[in-house]
Amino acid sequence: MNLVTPSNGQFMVAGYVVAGIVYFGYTVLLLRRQRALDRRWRALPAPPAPPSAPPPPAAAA
Amino acid sequence: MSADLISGPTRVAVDATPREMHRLAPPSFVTATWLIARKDMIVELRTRTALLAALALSLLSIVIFNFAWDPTAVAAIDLAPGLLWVIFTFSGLLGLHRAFGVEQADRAMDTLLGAPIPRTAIYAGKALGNLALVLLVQLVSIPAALVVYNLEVARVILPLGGIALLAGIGLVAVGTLFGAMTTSTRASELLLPVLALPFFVPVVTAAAQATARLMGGRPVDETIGWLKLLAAYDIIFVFACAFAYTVIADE
Amino acid sequence: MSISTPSARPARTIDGLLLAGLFAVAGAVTRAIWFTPVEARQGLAQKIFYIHVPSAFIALYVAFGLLAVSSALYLWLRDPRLDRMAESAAEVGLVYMSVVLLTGPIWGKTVWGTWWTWDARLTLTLFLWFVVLGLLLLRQSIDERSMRARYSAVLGLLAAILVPFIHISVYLFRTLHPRPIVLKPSAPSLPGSMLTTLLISIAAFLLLFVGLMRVRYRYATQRDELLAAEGTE
Repeated sequence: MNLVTPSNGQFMVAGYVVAGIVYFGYTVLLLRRQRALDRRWRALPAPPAPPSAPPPPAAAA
Repeated sequence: MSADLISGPTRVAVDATPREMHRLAPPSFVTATWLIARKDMIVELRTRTALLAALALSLLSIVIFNFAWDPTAVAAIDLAPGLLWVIFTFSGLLGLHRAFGVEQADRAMDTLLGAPIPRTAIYAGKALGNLALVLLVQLVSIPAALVVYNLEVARVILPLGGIALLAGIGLVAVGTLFGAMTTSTRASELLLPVLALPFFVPVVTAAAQATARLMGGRPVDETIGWLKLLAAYDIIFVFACAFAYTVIADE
Repeated sequence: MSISTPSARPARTIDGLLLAGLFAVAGAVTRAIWFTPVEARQGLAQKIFYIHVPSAFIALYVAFGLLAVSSALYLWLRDPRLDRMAESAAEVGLVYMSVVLLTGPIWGKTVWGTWWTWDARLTLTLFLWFVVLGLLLLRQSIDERSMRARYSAVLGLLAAILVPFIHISVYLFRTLHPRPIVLKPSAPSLPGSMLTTLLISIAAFLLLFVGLMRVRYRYATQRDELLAAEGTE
């Protein structure tokens, strides 16, 4: 292995790894932001009781 | 000054002559534009902050860059055109940012927006004021650069003026809009250049390339291509940004 | 809008479409690396092509196209959903553009010998990257929703108008500055199995894009509802 100039194959690996880090990293970021938002949502004080909707008609027996 | 714009139609005249009736009507687009441009220019000429800042930045850059390269390795005529227009861009940005500080105090912008004049007139007036500022700076900077870098002046000075006018219009069309947009946001000093610079690239490229060919004594048709691009950019972005301003000012 | 029944239900698991997209990309990558022939002149590094080209296509045409269209439509219709679409397209598009700008030079170094040569498509991607970044920064600096949407839409529309000018500038610049002969990495005449791999890759990255957009859009909707709810407390 040439220590000074990366080989052609190593460039390929570098390209795939970099792309993987960006795409996967962004996916993780999105999910973590979503989780933080969910936490804030659950921390909201309970809303006033909503008007109860009539239950859907049961399927014909 | 703004009082002139809003006090007109509120006066009631019973036996007004046609001439007086005309004076009571809201100002036309052209009049309003000119009034706003004049107001900005007067304010700027009295305080001179934006003008001096932009001028100082421009002249200092011209001088500093003189020490930044080896004149025996690269001829001034190769470097100067690009330099000229890069400096133009950054001093223009500085001037634009300061120019919008005028309305910040006392929420004067609200008064202006309340006047019965079309939004596009406000945009055109401010843009014209900014254009005057930019051209004034160029009026000093271009000859200074030509002298400092020992470039042949006589042949190029008039066409260069033309390029400066076209480039100035492009810079000011976009810069005025983005200045209005960023002035009321956080980190406005950083946001204005970040937003505006990509839009300035066609302007700087065309101006620098045209200047380089002009100074190099190249055939005219090479220059014309870049100038046509510049003119097209000016026309399209003046209209686009004028429209955009009506959306922005919809507070 | 009722806050007791949020339209975007807090998701406990990863969105199905996003998961499918991730698996599709993994599959496409596997095929590209192990089941596609190696290009004769460029060697293994050419395989970056199977990430670079789909990402470029999606970033420039799909993401930026969505951004431009939703910006223009917002200016006309003023529907907040269009603003959320623009916001999502901008962010996800920025991610795809980043991949283009990173994989391009890595591949380019092996093909051209230099990291950057002002190639037309890469240059345009670079500009759009800055413009979209500016748009996201602008959005971040405005708190009021209506103002943010209007300003963002204006910038999106102006960015779309800027694109042809960048194209022309780069074209004029390059024709007057002849460059050394460059290998054309995206030559349409691809041998069969390579073309298939490319098409599979495009489909996979497109699926991933849709998945990411869905999650991002839902996040934006839920965030706006939350802010409205918190604001009324």
